[in-house]
Amino acid sequence: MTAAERERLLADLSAYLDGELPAVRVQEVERGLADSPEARQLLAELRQVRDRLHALPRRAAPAELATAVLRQAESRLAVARRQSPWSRRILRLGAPLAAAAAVLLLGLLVRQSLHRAPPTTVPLAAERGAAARDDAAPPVPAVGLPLAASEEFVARAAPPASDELTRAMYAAGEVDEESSGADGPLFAVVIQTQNQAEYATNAALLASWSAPKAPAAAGNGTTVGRARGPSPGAAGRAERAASPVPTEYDFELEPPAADALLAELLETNARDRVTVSAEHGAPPGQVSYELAELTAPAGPEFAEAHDQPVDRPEREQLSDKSNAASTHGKPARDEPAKPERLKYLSLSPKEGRDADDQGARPASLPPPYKGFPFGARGVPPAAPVDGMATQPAAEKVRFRVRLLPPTASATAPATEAGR
Amino acid sequence: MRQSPDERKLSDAELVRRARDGTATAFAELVTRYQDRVFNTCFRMCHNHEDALDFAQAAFVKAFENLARFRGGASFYTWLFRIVVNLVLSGRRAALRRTTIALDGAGGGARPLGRLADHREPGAASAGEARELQQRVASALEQLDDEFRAAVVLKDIEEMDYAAIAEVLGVPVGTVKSRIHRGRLMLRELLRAERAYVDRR
Repeated sequence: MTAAERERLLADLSAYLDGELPAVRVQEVERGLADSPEARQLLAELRQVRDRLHALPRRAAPAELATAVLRQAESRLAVARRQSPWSRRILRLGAPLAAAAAVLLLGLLVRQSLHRAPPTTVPLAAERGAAARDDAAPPVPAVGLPLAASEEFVARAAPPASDELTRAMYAAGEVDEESSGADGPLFAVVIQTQNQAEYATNAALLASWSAPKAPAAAGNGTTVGRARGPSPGAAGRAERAASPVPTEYDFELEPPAADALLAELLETNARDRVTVSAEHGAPPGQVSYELAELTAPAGPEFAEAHDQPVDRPEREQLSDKSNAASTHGKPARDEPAKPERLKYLSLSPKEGRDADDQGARPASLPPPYKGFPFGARGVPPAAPVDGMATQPAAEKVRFRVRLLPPTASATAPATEAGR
Repeated sequence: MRQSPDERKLSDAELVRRARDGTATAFAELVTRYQDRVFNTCFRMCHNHEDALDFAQAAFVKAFENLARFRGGASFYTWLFRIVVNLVLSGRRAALRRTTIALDGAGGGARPLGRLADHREPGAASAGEARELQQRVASALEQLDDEFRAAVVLKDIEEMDYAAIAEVLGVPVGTVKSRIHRGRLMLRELLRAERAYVDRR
């Protein structure tokens, strides 16, 4: 054996050990091994090294890995949205991922609710996805998730889904069939814009939903968007030059489309400037979507739209109340706030809540929304409450979006909206 | 809510396809399927639980972000591990630069192994010795240069074949073969040197 042959033999021993040599070379190596004690010795040592590495104990992923992945994924999506909050195009691009994140969260939630108390807020956006968007991904089938559940996720819900809201209200008896069958809107959405750019952006967004293609994408010939006031028209950008006035847009959408529109409005605007209220079954303003930060946002990109104070005690009280009202009643655990946590969306009877907290509910207020929204939301969708189970899936959601121009006292700088 | 109990039976390719189409539970199934292997690989690459968790998390998130760009030229598994290894290697390079500056040339050699040997308790039970051997192997692995460690970990711990490792590392198969072999040789020397050190005591 020449020196070169010896060197080549020794160099091939690992590949020989791993079964990675071609058959011809295997035979050569085996002949060389037969002739060379040195090669046999090295092979034995290499095998020992390999076996020792192989015998190292496997580290299972800690439970928080999946949790962290979901949190991070959602966080990235949130950042991406905020970096370009006015761009529907970005929203469209992000829609499949947003839907994915939402379903991940929903899966966790479902899993959790099978084991523990129902959540106080629920990521309902799972199926809203982009169902109504013209270039949307198909609706996301929400499926149980084999990941470790984390209560943290309960607090970080995706934007609301109005079909769920509708079903919840039906389930809670807050909306009766008769009144909802009337011509008036089921919900009123009020957007208080802070400057002209915001107004124009919202007008363009709403106009795009009013355009004929939007209902077509929503499917089944849904009637959408009878705008009152100055017609926004399909060319929403023209609105930018117009002087803002209060404008109303009426929509009658399939639930997924309604969800998508509502989600876009919530994504586009600071949450405290969007109010969603039930027009029937409750006085306007009685029930509001409320989106708040649990903790101070992590980066400057969050600073824009999330200036609401931390409001944990209130949330915990709501949790307890809602959980107690549900069939799975168990108080929400008080988990410490974490800086990376994003936001939660909760539905709460605003005035009723305050009165409850003080133990003195004014008689003039209607009874609190028992089971709404938490009662219905807290039940795993796999085992829906009766009201939800019997609700027709194709029930359209009617709502009126009232776009308010910036008030004189609005202080938000115009540059903020341009970001 | 529609349950999909058979999602666990689907192939990676089908899960990826569904995940790209917006079925996020398909991505969740991929996470479930690979989280242990990803984490273990990260842990063996950086020998630190917290760092491994960070890297594994970052890798899955990056995969999540880039899923739309995954076009199936590779298997999802190798694609994911490419993300994992790239993140770990680049992260460790950055950390190494910081460490090098901090130490200013101090240390090196077989110091960690020697330190480990110092803590060896004489007359330890066989279970303890087995555990100690594992610690020595893990510490020796830690001593390897990143490129060799990556190849060895992917081969001897993750049990990939050379072609998959080449894909993960983005190098030719011949390079993989060479790195694995040299990595094992270095490990042999490290373990041998440390064994001799222990025996002298």
